Amino acid sequence: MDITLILNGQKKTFSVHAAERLLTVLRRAGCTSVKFGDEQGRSGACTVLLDGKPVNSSVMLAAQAHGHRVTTLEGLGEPGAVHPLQQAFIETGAIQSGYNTPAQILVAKALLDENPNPTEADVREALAGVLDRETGYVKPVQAVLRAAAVLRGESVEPFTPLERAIPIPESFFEFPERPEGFDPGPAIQTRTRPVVVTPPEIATRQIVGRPEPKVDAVKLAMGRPVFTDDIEMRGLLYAAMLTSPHAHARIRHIDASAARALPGVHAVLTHHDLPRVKYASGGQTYPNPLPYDQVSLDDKVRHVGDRVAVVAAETPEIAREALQLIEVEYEVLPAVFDPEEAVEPGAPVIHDEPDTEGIYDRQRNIVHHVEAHEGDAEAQWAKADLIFEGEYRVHQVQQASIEPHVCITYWDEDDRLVVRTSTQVPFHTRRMLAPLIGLPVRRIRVIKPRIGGGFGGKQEMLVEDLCAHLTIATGRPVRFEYTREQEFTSARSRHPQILRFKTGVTREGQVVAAELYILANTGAYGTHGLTVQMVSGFRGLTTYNAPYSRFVCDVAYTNLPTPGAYRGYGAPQALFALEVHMEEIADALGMDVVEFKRKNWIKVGDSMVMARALGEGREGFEQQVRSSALDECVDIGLRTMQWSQKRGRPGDGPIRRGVGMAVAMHGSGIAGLDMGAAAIKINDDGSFNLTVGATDLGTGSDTVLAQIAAEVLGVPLEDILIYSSDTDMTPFDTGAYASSTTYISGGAVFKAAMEVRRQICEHAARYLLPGARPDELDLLDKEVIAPDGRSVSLERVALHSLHQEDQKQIMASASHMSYESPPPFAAQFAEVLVDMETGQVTVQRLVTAVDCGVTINPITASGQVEGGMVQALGYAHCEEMAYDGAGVLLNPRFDDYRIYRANEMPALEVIFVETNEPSGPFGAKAVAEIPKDAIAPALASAIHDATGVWIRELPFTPERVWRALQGQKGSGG
Amino acid sequence: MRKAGAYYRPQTIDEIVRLIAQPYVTTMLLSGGAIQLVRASEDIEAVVDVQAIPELARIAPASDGAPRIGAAASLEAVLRDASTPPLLREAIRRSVPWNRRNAISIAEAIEYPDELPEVNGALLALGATLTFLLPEERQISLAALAADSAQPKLPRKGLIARVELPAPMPRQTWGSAHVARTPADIAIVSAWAVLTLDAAGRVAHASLALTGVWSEPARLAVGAAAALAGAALDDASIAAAGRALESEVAPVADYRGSVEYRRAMAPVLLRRALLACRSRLSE
Ligand code: FES
Repeated sequence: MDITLILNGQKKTFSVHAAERLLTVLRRAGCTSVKFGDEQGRSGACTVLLDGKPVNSSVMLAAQAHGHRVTTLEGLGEPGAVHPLQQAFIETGAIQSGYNTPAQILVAKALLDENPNPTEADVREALAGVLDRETGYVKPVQAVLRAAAVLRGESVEPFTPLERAIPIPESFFEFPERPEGFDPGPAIQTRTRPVVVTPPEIATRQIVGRPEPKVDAVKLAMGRPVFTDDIEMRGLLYAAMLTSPHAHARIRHIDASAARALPGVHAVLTHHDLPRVKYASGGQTYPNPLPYDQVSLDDKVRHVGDRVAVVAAETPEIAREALQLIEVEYEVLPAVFDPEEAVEPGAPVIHDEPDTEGIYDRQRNIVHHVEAHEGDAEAQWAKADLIFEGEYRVHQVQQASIEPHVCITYWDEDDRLVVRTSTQVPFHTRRMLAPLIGLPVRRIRVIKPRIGGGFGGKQEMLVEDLCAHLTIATGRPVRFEYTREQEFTSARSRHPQILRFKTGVTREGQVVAAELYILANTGAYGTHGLTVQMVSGFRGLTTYNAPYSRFVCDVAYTNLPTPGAYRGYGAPQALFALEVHMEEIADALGMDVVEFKRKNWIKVGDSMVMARALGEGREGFEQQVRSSALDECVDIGLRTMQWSQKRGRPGDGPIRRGVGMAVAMHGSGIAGLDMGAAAIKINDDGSFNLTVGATDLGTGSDTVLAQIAAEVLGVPLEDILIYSSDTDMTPFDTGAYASSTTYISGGAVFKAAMEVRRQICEHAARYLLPGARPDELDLLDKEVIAPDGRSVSLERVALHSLHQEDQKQIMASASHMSYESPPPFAAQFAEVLVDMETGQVTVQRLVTAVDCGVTINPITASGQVEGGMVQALGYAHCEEMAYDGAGVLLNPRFDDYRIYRANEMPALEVIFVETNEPSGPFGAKAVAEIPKDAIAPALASAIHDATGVWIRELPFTPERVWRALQGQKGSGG
Repeated sequence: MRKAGAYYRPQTIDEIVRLIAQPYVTTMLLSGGAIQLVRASEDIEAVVDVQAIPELARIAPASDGAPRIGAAASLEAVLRDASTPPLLREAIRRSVPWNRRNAISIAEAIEYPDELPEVNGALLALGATLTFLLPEERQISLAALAADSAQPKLPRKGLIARVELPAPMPRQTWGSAHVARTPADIAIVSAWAVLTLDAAGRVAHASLALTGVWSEPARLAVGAAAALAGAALDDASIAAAGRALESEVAPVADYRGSVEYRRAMAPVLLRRALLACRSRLSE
């Protein structure tokens, strides 16, 4: 049937099927700003304006829009010009991956069209329909309010953080009390500007440290086709995957003949069709840790959502229909979900296949067993006057990037396989993919376009092998995207753990010995099972760095969907347990928690006791803390929270108030393992191409890396043209994980830029500034400047070196790795209300004071912290993968899986306390993961402050808190 | 639903009648759609979209002020209409974001009460009545419909014309309370109360609905309401209503809350909803 839309002001006719969704038709029409997030209409990524009103185009028939005005981001403002909303999103740093930016801008447009002067509450209500996994909503709200002012004709100040403030102005510590009432709704006051506290000894620089807009912000704000799925390909086929309905079963028989016979189906692949090549899907450095316990398609399934078969067909609908025609006969096997049961003798053996090597104890489903210790056990335990033990439990949560895993594979003109994929690890993917598909690495090219969020979930090769197999089978380009349900059941998640701490302290409150035992649940496959738990061990034993420390860990297979890498990578689990445990000890000792922790936390100059014993998947390296502002973070945070006025004053009545704190220490890359490389060349006009293998997954790392290059080369940011990442075009990088990009890849950029700078100075001194010595030249404002005041432009140097004399391409590449992983530090605070009758916890305020070294870009860095805080809040408070007794996930949908929306957020505040990390580029450390680490224990601390009850298991759902309160009542406590 | 081969947009109700009378065609009457299109069964062959019939989306109170909400009216339109009772507004605003409010009709909210239990709780407490045009013209209270456990809530070929609420009464008061994981999350348990008092301040009529404590997503608490009838709205009668409620709930556990928890929350939230009623009276 034909429908007519007034699409972005123009009358257009489309031929559609009756059941076709508006989203599909709009994307086919080239409106690729309209994104897909889920099939259930909850993400809002597909928002368009229908007659000016926001609606979700994925849950609307195209035919319903017939005769109506439809506006997508492509139709916003004047053609080619940036609308004030887009401008505000760019300026305020409201764009991270940019995947749902078009949706946010469109709802904002609808709001401002009817209410030019909205309150923050109005803005939050409007944005509530668009789920945001990245920003914490702080900057999008700020952007809309700013755009509203611009559209009203008011003049707005340039957007800058309240930066370089020492001392912090007193006004900062005044916090508007929230309106009375238990339900905060959207009525919060957002303090939208991060504070950067810079000690005077840290130099002010030209580009580094400035809140530069992201280098990719304009294209993202305009909704340009930059994501994996935004290209058009002739002859594209659509893949769909059949997944297991059983938690544990053998495939007795599989018959795909009816599916293959369905018109429009081009290939159906089952385990009969693919070679049995063993691998581990985690995107990790060569050699990937054993065991290689996966094959692309197996005759056994080990969790609900496990791979059974894939189809490639001419439309997604045909592909899905074909799935239903695949006949599978399962022999259902007993399954086990609880790691404590899984390691008991007699439990079902999940990996009974003989060709998997490297399982520690196959019969007991123990894939890894780790034991490591440092120090003199006997001597240290002997010093302990008191020994405290505590058990803590953490659960499974999902990364839930709004862009699902998506991949397009095709043969290029040289018969090389191109893999265009939303990945954090393009180089690992290429290497890992090669043996699975039987092609040499040289015949594979992996292109990473923009990524719509990853958070570790895309540090894994999940869709690329099957997609590639389908292209090999059909000769056609194939697109494979996970459904939202598959994101929950067939992608990765955070490892659930049971953690037991045993800590020895002196009567004076000195921690002298610590042991941590972890029983971790790695689900059906090992993938990141070893490395995540080793990080847990290291993080759990390092903040307080007991002279005797011991880590023991068992990693169990179960029949749950497989956990993997998730931002924080073992630290949020360990630090929840550690920080609560430490506060419990402080309580028991009658010491102030802050002073107890301060007395014990690791200080500058201290060696990290477990650094050598607990590397990542292998032995690590000795490490010392060389920079830390943890003291200052805590002190500033305490003042910001009005701690002394609020702590210990819960009030009485059914609603109690509490404030809590916890501290965190993380790393910057993996010592001795991560490596990044960069290449820089000069262009005729004195601009530079910077190519890096590092993958910006929305974090702003492209911007930060470009800022480092711009600073060294004395040019504005716009003169650095960064490109990342493509295994054919850019140098190697291990990828975006482990908070490594600024520190490791930034180190590579710094080195390459320094070498280019050296070549520029040498050429300029020799030919253009005669008599000057290269080492005394400076690069500033696109000029090479001699001490005597003479100068020559970079353009002149470029033209001269490329065309005129002693011709050469000024260029350099460099690699960087480090045997250090300098820790960023943070203090995180929470203020909560607890309903004593229902157990409902309402989080009112979260504050993070963080030392990430020098903040290369306070806007992108604060966006990282805000977004991380909200993910951490979800972990602590409401997100949870819930299963029935058969291992079926009960909530594989947004909202059921609860992610905070814009209209229910607590106030979020970020304060940077800078240090100068000697080993980091321009003094920088990492910032991406640390905001995830200590929100859960800060919340536990606040709930305890409000109620007197410790809750040692996440998340703090109403029922869990209620049960704890009932227990308190029951025990007369 | 993906196999649907025909889309119709009738201009009149007669046309609807003709369209859904087609034999051997499984038809879906579409209004709004953000829930229907997700939940609709795979066997739908034709879609009859009622958007072009203005009276089906009209919101116009009766002369006595009783709200009359066209069944195809979007939840956003309901939220914004001056005649919508505050209790219903609160339920809609709290539990449905703007994008979805624009594309979910009130009929759809009623058809899928498990998606929007709180909206149904408010409608039940407010005494909503539905007027069907098809298969034959009839009126049925939402409470009666909700009690009929046969799914779906609306017969497939049934056309609901409007939702009617009783006119606001003098000395009427209302209140609600809920518990949820986060402030805008679906309630684990919620209570919705509408009370009419007599001149002596006694409860002349109580309409109490709860979500999350029966297998039905939302249901009237008849026993608790009876316990209040004729009583002054004091602590004793509120406690009595809570006790009555405890004996009539039959929760079903899910991952948001166990049977025990839901059972424990029911009287707590009912009490809070009733206290809200009482404090509104004194405003
Ligand atoms: S893609 Fe439409 S709401 Fe998620």
